[in-house]
Amino acid sequence: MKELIGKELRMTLRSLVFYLFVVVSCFFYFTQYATSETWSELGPPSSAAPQNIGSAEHPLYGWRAPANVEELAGRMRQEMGWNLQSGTVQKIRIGFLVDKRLSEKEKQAFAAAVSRLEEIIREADKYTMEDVYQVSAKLNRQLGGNTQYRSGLESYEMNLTTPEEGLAAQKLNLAAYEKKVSAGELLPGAARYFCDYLALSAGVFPVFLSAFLLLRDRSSRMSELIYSRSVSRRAYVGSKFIALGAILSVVYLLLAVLGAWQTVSVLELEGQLGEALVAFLGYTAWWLLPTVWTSVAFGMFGSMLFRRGIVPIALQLIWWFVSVLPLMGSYGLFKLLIRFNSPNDYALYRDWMDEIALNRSFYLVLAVLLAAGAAWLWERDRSRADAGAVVRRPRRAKKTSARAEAL
Amino acid sequence: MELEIEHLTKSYGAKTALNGISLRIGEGIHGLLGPNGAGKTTLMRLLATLLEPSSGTAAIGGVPLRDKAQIRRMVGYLPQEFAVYPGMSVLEAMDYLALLSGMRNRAERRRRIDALLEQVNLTEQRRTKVKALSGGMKRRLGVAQAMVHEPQLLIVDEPTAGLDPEERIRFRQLLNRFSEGRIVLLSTHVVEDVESTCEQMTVLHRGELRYHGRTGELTAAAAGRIWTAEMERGQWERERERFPVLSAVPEGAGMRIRILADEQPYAGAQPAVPTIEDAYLYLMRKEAGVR
Repeated sequence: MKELIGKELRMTLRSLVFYLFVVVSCFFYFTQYATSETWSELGPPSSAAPQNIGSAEHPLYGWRAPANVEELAGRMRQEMGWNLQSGTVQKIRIGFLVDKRLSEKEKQAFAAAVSRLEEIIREADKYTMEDVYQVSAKLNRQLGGNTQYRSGLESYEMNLTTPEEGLAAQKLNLAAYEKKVSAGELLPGAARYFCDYLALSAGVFPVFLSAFLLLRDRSSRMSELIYSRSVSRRAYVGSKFIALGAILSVVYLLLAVLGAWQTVSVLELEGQLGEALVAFLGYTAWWLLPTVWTSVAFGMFGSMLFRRGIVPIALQLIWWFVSVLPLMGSYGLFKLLIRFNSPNDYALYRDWMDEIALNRSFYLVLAVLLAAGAAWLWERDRSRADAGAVVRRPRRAKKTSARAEAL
Repeated sequence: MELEIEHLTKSYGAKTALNGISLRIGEGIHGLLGPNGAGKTTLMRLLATLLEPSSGTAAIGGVPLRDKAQIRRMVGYLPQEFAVYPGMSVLEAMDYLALLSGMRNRAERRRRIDALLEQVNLTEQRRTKVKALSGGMKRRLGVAQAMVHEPQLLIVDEPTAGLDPEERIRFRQLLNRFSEGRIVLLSTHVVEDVESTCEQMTVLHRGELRYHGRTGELTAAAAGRIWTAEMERGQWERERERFPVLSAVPEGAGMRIRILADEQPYAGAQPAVPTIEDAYLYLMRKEAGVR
């Protein structure tokens, strides 16, 4: 099998589609992760005097996260008030945010949530931030899920309206940054951010290679030649799966090395390349590779099941759309990608770690199961050179007769 | 070593491609003749485990067809439409297919591939991409890949199509050498290939067995039914529709013709010794109800 894997690797390296995949992955890296926005988010906060970016009438010196229960509950109540006023709420539908009109029952749920928040504001010292988030989580469930109130979607940031507030926020940001650096959370945060963006390509592009991997035998008119040989399904399909999965993994691992090096270099973190490599390679292996291997296996399985490469590609695109939003906090088993669109928020990550681990473990197992399924379907087709005729017999009886005549 | 086929049937819906064939084929080259739609390719695909029989059994050297893993190790197959990944070179294609045939030892593979490429005269093209090979070269590569793992049953479908006369002779010699201690099943439309290489042959027609036996004995069926005659071109034009003409060769102002007929067709017609081709055509015309 080792030699077969080697031969499959060589064939992949001759494929133009593979090089397109490399180009697209690099494109995602340079346009999504390695950008000036990322470096400013990862780097220390600006020490320049706060500037008014609003107007004279409505000054704005930036934003800050709510600092206590009262502020968080107040911002949340404000958001809910706007929803009640407009009579709509935003929902995620197949990856897109759409406005949905509120029913009477839903308006009542909003009113109850607002009244609960007011109760919390009145006796703020008796509650925790988590209690406040529970209010929005409950409302999200009452609205049928997938709303803007889903955990992790909304940060409820507050406007800074005076230079003093701006300066105070700057100090807080600097303190938070220093705390993050001293706790060793800067590079893991950057690695998570890297994986979040690269998952966008890992969740869809591998299928363009894998969906035609086994069908290539048919298009090259090699099926009979291969089916009649003594190679086992495990060795034949397994070698293709391992070779493609491995070479795509290498692409992402190399990008992770590049990401680690560039992050350390841009942020001037001298002597921390080793630590950065461990973080980037570790998160890539654990967050990205299950997505890559599942996409490879799904393409192979789908192409064997439907005998068309385009069907698994279309299904994968739908799966990708379903998985791509929200940007954080949703790690159900149907989510092909891990979205964690923040280089910070380590506390949130810690809360979701179990869900993420379960999701990734599930996808590792799923990849193996799908590859085994592809091998089983391949073996089934092996003694059915007339399989097309069998499948379509009811609609193509005349063509079936013609085929038999030709034989 | 024997290939035993008992009541082998393959149906596609209501259409029966192969109908209850029973055969016993021993070592050596065995010809499989029949027109399009006779069931030759179906029979070969069944033996190569590419199709499941609707009923009946077959065994190669005592190994039943349902033991697919074992059968695949014993069979080498050259399909009618032979192709490999176009980006591969001749050597890469041979090596890949040998590996898929279970030849794990690299040195052994190389030795065997080198010998086969020499035998099919492709040594100089070993680094050439398959897509750059001529039709004849591709057929030779096809034959070599089917032999690479030294199968006990070699199944070759139309192997001489596209080969020039010299290549065809070389190919027959190659098959002859390879068939020692093995069974070679040669399907072809070219009667000459069967005549010059096969000791035994089978004729199929519309999925039914029409002849199975020694190649030379097929001619017995046509004995006394082959005639030759010489006639003027004008007479030839008038008479050509009356009897099945096997061949017509212009000779000076006239024609020398070879006719199939149960009785003397013309006063001057002379009885001729039937060839395999004559006998095969007689068999096919008899099946079609033509006299």
